[in-house]
Parts: sequence; structure tokens; C-alpha cells
Amino acid sequence: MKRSCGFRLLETTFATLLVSLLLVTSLSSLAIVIRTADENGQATTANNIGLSMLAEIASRAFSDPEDPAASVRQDGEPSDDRTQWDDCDDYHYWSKLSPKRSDGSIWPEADEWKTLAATYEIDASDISQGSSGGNCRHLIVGEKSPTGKQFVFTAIKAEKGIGSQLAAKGASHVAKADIHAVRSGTVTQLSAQLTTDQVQP
Amino acid sequence: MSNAKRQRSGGIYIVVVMVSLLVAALAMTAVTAAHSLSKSMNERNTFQQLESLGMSGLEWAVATLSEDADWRRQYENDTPYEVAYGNGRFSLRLLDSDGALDDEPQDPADIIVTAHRDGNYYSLRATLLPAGPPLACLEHGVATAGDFTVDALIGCSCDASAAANGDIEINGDCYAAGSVSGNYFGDPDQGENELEFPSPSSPYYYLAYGTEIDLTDLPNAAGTYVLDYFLLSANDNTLTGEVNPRGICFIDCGGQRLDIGNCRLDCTLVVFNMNGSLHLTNSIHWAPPNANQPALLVVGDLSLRMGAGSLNESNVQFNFNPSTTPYLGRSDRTQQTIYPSELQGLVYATGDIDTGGLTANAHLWGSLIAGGDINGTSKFAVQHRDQTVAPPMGFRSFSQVRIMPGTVRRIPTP
Repeated sequence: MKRSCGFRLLETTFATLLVSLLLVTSLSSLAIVIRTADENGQATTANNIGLSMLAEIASRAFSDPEDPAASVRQDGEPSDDRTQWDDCDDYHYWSKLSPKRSDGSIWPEADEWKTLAATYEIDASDISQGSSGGNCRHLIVGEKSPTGKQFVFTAIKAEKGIGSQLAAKGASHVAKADIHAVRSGTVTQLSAQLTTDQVQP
Repeated sequence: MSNAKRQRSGGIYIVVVMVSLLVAALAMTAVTAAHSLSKSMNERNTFQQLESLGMSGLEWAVATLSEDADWRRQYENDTPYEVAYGNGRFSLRLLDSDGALDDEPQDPADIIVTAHRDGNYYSLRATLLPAGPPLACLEHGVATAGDFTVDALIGCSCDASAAANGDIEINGDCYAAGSVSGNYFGDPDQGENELEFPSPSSPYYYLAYGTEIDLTDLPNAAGTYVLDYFLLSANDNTLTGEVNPRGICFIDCGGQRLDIGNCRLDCTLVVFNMNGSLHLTNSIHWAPPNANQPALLVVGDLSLRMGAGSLNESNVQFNFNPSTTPYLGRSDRTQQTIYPSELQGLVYATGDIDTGGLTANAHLWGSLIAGGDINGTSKFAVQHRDQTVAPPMGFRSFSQVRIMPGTVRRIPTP
């Protein structure tokens, strides 16, 4: 009987220690994992917003189509309507809390996030330094989470790179002009038809 | 009693241990799942950032190469050149089609860019296109990398200059905007710079955008395939019905002979792998679909044997101007329209071009360019149309480069 009670105390103590040890280990691991998951969640959100913004900036023309020398937004490119921004430097020193998508629609993921953007001309021979009149642009997007954590994303856009080709792809030029004469009685009527063709790759 | 108590004590122990194990297992499962999810998110972020870094590397590489017209001598084939950028690095590697970058200025080349960050790699490969100034050969009505010879008693008329990297020998009449001696860029001994011609493989650039015309779909007469009574444009293909929106088609002759005649072609056609020369015969009305596309690209020799007669629909019983491919803005359903037999635009053969059988009535409005010789064994007339404003793909200098659209692809890191 005594042996039996002693064994119960010992086994209870041992079991309690075992449970405590496992729970402490598990919970501390869980805390680390939860913290890491939260950080990764923020990094993922920053990644989604930041890389989307970089892709948006890179899709714009290298310089302003109307005024290539301009380095700021022109008249007709309002600061709150990115659909009107046609070149990279329109994004220079732009910042926005809870930015919307480029088409103006709500971006739920970006709620309470702050986006900052900047672009600098650089030269391909030394991409570590700014260079006025360089043939590349350094695109920078910073993302600040609601908790204050900051992320920075960068990319390079070349003046005659792939992004510029894509931006130019929408352009068209008059490639063919057909002019034909139609005789109607004694009056000769000339009509002309201009055909616009997509610029071939 | 004592047996029952002993059983109860052991039961508590087992229950507590099992519950502990269950709790621990659940906790570990949750930890593992969370860790796995976190790792997966981290990997996805890293991949996206590497992808962005790789594209930046490609942009940088294009800018770097375009900045140095002598890049073929500055870089070695298949050798990485690395640069640091942000938290990562990227390297540039150039691959020439024949393994030597500096032997031919117009050799096709590929570029490999590898982005490297935190022990992760991401490589992209793309084909480079020449993006420098238009090749000088486009400035002439007739240009040949070899000799330009016009036989005795044969007339050759050209309203612009004729140029050759070899000799120009005119034994018959030759009419040029100025005097022949004043306009040719012939013998290097006379101190003229040699003209730059497109790479012999430049016609193959167009295959990526073209639609194949299967040779076996064509009629075969005595061992020669014949493309005739045929309308080909961006909207019409009267042979197979398969059209190419850019109006680019190609024919792999598979070592067989091919003749083209009695056709209206409003397209860019690439012909290669022929047995002997490609023959243009009878009456042909040929124009490129766009000002910045060539009309005909031949890998090999070309023989112009077009007759003097116009392409007359009533003679061939074929309507060449349906509503989908009007002629001078006019379309009809009749077989009464008459077209001048002529080639418009750029005609380029990587080998020789001979004009045997061509008559002066059959004109070329554009440029006749040969990678070999041009032999004027029959009358021919060229009226130059300037293509330097919008040079076709492959007819620019490689002093600057751009990426050929559609060729960027991810590859295993070399």
C-alpha cells in the first residue's frame, strides 16, 4: 500500500515535470514562430506592394515623351492621379499613406502602409552613383508598415531596355497611306485613307 | 483492493504521459506548420526579389553594352562579369553563336544575367538584337558584300548609288543618280571603308514571329516545288488559310528547289535551305506589310527571272485583291485587276543574286542587297527607297543592343 502511494507521488511529479518541460519548450518555440510568421507576413505584404510599385514605375517611359528633359511632373499630371503619369520621374519624391492601385481602385493590402518612391539617373558604368544624363534609372520604393517596420526595394531601368520597349509597344505610327482616285462623271474625287500600324518588335 | 489501487496508479501515469505527448505533438505540429508556412512565404519573397534583381541585371547589361560600341572586343565569350547592386550582385555573360565575340560584328549573340543574393541564384537568358544606326548597305539601291558585275550589252539602271565591298565592273550601260565612279564604294584599295552587311543568320530572327508554309503543301513539277497562283498577306493565305498577323512567313525548303511566280505577296517571306537558287519567275507583285519590314530574305542564292508582263488576274484566273487585302485601297471580286510586276521594299540574299531573265520592266522599288555577288546578266532596274528611317530587324549595327522581344526566359544557373 505504501509502495503504491509513493509510486503515485513519484509518477505524478515526473509526469508534471514532463508536461511542463514539453509545454514550455513548445510554447517558447510557438512564440518564436508566431513572431517570425508576423515578420514574414509584413515582409510579404511589403514585397507585394513594393514590387508592384516598382513594376508600375518600370512600365512607364524612361523620360517624358513630350519633354524628355523634364525631371518633374508636368501640367496635366496631377499628383493624386497616377493614371496620368507617363514617365518614371513622375514618381520622384512621391509618398502616399494607404496607396491605391494605379487604376485608382482600393488596395486593401496596402491599408495603413506608407509608400515612398524616388528615381535617380545613373550611368551603367557606375551604378553606385547618381549621374545626370545617365542611360539608366535607379528606381527606389520604400514601404513602411503600420507598426513602423521599413522595407526598401530597388530596380534598374535602362533607357533602351525591355521596359522601354514595352512602353513604346503601345505607340503606333503611320506606316502606309493609300490614296486613290474615284471618277464620278467629270469630277475626280480624291480620298485618302491613313492606316496606322503597330510598331513591329 | 491492493491490485485495484496498483492498476489505478499505473493508469494515471499512462494517461498523463499520453496527454503530455498529445499536447506536445499538437504543439510541435503547429510549430512545424507555422514554420513551414513562414519558410514558404520567405522563399516566395526571396524568389520575387531575385526575379526583380535579375530583370534589373538585364536592364543594366543592355545599358552597359549599348554604352560601348566596342563591346565585342571588351568582353570575352562565355565569361561572367559581375557587379554589386543593392543587397545582391548580378553577373553578365555573353554567348556568341560561333563562340567568338569579336570575329564578326553582326554575329547573333545571347546574354545570360545571373542575379545572386544570400546564396540564392536566378538566371535569365535572352537574345540580343542590333539596335545601333542603320547598316550602311541600306543607303544604296544596290549593295553587295562581294562583286557587282553587269555583263556587256546589259543595262542596269539605279536611281541611287550602287556599292560593293569588292569590285564594280560595268561592261554595259549603267545609269545612276550621279556618275558611277563618283558613287561607288568599291575597291578597298581606293581607300573607301567597307560597308557593313547583316549577318547571314539575320533572316532567322524572323522565324520567331513567322508562320511556316509547309513545302509539301505546294505543287511539285518535275522535282521543283512551285508557289504560284497565290495570295499571301497578313489577312490572306490562299494556300492553307493560316495567316500571320504581322505578315511574316517562312519556307524551309528542306534541300528542295523552289520557284515563286504569278503571285501577289503582301508579306515578309523568309526562304532557306534550298537546293540551288530561289527563282522568282513570271509575274509577281510583292510588297512588305509594313515600311519597317523587308519583302524577301533568302538564306542562299536568289535568281530574279521575272518576266516583263504585268500580273494580270484575267490571265491567271485569280482574284488577288479580296476585301481582306485591298490593292491601293481597292478590293473587288473580279479577276480583272492588273498589277505591275515588281518588288517593293528590301530584298536580301545571304549568297549571290543574279538577274538572268529579268527585264527592265520588272522593277525593284527598294534595295537589292547581297551577302555574296550580284551578277547583272540581264536588264534590271532599281529605284531606291530609303529604309534607313525605319530599318528592318537585323539591319542595324550591333554597336548598340536591345533585347529581342519574347526571348527572355529563366534558365538553370550556369
